[in-house]
Amino acid sequence: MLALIGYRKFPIFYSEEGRITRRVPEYFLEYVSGIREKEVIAIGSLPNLKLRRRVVIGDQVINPSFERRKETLAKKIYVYPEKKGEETVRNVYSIGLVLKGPRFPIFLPILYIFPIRLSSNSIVGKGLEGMMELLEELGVEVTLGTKSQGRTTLEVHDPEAESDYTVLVDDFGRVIDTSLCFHSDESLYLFELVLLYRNRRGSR
Amino acid sequence: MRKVRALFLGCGFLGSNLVPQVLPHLSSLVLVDRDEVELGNYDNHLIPKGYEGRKKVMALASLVSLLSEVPVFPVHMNVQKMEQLMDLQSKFDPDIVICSFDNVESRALVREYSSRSGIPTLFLGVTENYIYIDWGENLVLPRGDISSVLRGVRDVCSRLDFRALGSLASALAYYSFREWLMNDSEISFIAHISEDGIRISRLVR
Repeated sequence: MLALIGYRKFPIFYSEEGRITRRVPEYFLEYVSGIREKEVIAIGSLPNLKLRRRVVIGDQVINPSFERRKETLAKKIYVYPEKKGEETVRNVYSIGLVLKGPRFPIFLPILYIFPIRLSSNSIVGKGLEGMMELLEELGVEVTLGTKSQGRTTLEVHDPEAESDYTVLVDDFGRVIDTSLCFHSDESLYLFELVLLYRNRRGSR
Repeated sequence: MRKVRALFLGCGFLGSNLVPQVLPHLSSLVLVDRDEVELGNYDNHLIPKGYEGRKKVMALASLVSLLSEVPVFPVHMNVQKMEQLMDLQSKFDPDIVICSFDNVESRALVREYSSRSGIPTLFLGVTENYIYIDWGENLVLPRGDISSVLRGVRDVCSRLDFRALGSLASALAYYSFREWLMNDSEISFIAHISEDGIRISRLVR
């Protein structure tokens, strides 16, 4: 059981399956009614929803392709029966849950993969170009190589991971192949590969 | 095999080691803890990174939602009174309680609760060289001045040197949990760690 508070006149409740519901246990209803803040989430249980990868920059939640804003972020998270909420984590590459909100969907980050510091949030909507900007801020040098049939070869130099490797990406920055010995069941974007590889090397 | 509703009291060193083990046997899981994650906890807790300064129950609940589809209810609470435990019981109706609180007062309270409620309660505990896995009213708690023992326990719960204790305690607790699940028997263990090795004994009462 989970509730969005302060997005509408009345709280919106979600079942364990992540569906909006009106069947709410009394204790949780009572707990939620005691929260006076706006645009916050109260957690009674974590809904069983598919986990999504997202980049949270400030209040913006964007998908890993950096193409568009996907969801908004609640200001605080309340965990039953705690009366004090804690700030939602920002500036992070994260895995979390997406809830249908009243206007925009709401993202609830639950696993924090990598912190991201950016001097501006202008990368939203820039796709591959935005990823390059982010990587530059992270101290990663990316050199453009050959380009043909919508595929580009990139030479990556990451001093923090003490690694040089080659990545083949499509026009959207999706990784098609890499010289790294790296396997993922999910289709990754360039910046995800770089961060996950850094992570695996145990450096930050 | 049947699945049960479990109430975990304590989500630290021992609790976080045991939760992933028992997940396949659960229909729901309630996590109760009062603490926030400290950087040092990463040395021997099984929790996702990035939770420093945030609630332990949320850290462990997040791990559970990654590992399984078991509905998980995080409860951030400092259990100090019997009413709190009875309240948790009325809300979540657990089939079993698993207690790994690291303070004696709370353990004594949970033992009394176990006696009153009749709900099977499994206790896990460690010191620097000792592990115990015991059930309900049988639990023996130290008496007298135990401040040095408690300091030792806190030390164990936050040092990399003792990480193996968590794995061993959770393996024994899992064995005991599974026996209870399958045969309704309550098996208790003690393990003594010395320079010569580890000696595990089953307590027969």
